[in-house]
Amino acid sequence: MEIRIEHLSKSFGKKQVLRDITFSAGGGKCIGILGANGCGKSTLLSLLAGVRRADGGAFYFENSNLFQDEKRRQHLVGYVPQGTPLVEELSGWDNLLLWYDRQTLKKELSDGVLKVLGVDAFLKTTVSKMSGGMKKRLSIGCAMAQKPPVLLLDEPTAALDLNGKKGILQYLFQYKKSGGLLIMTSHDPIELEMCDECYIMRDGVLHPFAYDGNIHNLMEKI
Amino acid sequence: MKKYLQLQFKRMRKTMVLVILVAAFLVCGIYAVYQATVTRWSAENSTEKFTIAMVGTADDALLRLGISAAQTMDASRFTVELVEMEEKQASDALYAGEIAAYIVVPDGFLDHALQGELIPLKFVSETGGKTILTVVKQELSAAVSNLVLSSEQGSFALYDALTALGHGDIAYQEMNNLANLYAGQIFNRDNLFSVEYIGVSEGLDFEKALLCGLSVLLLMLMSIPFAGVFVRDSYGLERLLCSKGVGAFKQVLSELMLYGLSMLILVTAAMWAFSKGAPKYLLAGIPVALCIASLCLMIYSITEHLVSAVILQMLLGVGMCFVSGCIYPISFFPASIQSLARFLPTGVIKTHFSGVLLGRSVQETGLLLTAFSVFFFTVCVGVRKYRIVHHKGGIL
Repeated sequence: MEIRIEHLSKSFGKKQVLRDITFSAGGGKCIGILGANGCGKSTLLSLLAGVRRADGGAFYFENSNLFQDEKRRQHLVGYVPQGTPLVEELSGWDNLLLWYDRQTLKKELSDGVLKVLGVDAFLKTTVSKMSGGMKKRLSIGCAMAQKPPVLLLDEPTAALDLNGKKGILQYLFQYKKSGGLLIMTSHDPIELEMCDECYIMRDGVLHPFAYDGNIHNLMEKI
Repeated sequence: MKKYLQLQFKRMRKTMVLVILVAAFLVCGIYAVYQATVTRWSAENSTEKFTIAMVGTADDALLRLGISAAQTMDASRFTVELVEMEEKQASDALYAGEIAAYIVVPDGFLDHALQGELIPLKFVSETGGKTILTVVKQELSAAVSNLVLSSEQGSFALYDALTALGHGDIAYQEMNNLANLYAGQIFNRDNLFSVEYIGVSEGLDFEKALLCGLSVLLLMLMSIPFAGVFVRDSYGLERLLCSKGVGAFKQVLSELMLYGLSMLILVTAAMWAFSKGAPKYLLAGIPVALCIASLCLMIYSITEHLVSAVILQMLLGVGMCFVSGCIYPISFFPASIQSLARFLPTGVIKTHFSGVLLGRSVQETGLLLTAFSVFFFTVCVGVRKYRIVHHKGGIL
């Protein structure tokens, strides 16, 4: 499995946010995208997720351009946005029913993705009463409904405590190991450690960056 | 979209208990205000003298004499005060609540009456209730009874006079002719006057106008608990839905369908509570429910915090209801505000309800409300699209 992003561009009025973004990645990898606030990281993910349209460029999965095949993109690409994609006043079960049919949901809870995420433990809890870690695990559970081979995550462990981060990262490791491709935006060195390739976004351009665990080097680059 | 619709249904179901509690509280409060106002109004009207304007009597000395006599000698002087006015002046005075009714005496009324021809008087009132009309009918019935008695006396007097003058051969026939003429007029007394109601508000009497106005206010306020469902501080769910092909249009449409349905239930329940006529209002309530639901959704879309949304909804609801004459009779406002009120959603809803109560066609107001709904819906979709892309916590 391979994806290729070619010459992707996006402008807001006169401001060009993304310029000629090009990179490729295969299954079982994790791509980290870093950058200052407002540099265009989330815009890039939202273009790939289909939340907004790119001005130009292509997003290939194998050899088909997903920008021209909405249905396929919806099936192949999972997306976990920064804000919680959950309805606060409903239970975990009710939220999952938005994305799964009843039978699949029961199956996933017994021996599938949701079991791995540990969602079954707080299924009947109302979202508003869940911890940040629970909400994030449930959000990933929602995004994984069609078992997409590509998962886009917008700062997946932001604002979580270490325990919360641990639970999420453990699952992401497992997803990667099973052949999934992760593309995540991040500011967090812990998240970056699981990335196979890192890019820093500056002035709308992606620059490859080898993260060696030295936070001072990273800060200088950004 | 179907699953999102089901999700909205679950959210509504969770909120419905609170909505019903608020609605019950508001219904009780507003019904108490309604009852108190109507009781006070009825009490004031039962102790006050009715002022009736007479139109078309100024040029006729005999009619003026009759009015003067009625005001000084007749028993009706304790309940009715008669004043002379021009028709335009009388109409304005009626709208301003200065008189209870006016009677238009047509040209040549007396000449025709003296020839035995009865031209109906026109009775114009702002109320369809039993008050002023009952008084006038009682007065006219008493007058007709006197007329019957006098006409009998007149017939016999004619017979006596003709016999005394040596015309005994034709006396009986002439007496019969005169009696027939009287009978023809007296038995036809239903045509003594025609009644026309102009109403204080779009043809409604005080009670019904108040009912319509307060219903609109009630509907604007009782959907406030829905703010908790629709005001968002995060657009994560909307973004994820968008990435799965459920865009802003489908999202807002699903929300509007459920919200509209809930509002329709509330509209029908509110009207039933007031008038026990739910089935009648169900169909007519659809454009009203859609308009209020889309207006509220628009308010929830443009505000980002629950408190702001509730305050805005309250201010907008009460403000528009006031300007539209739902709380205070619109005839007391300047003409410019009255014109403005016609184009406010609350004003159109009130006119729509008035039409339903009076059995008039409500197609025009129904279409106008639908147009309002489409406008509010379009704004909602536009704002949702903007928020999905630009809301904080997000994209840029």
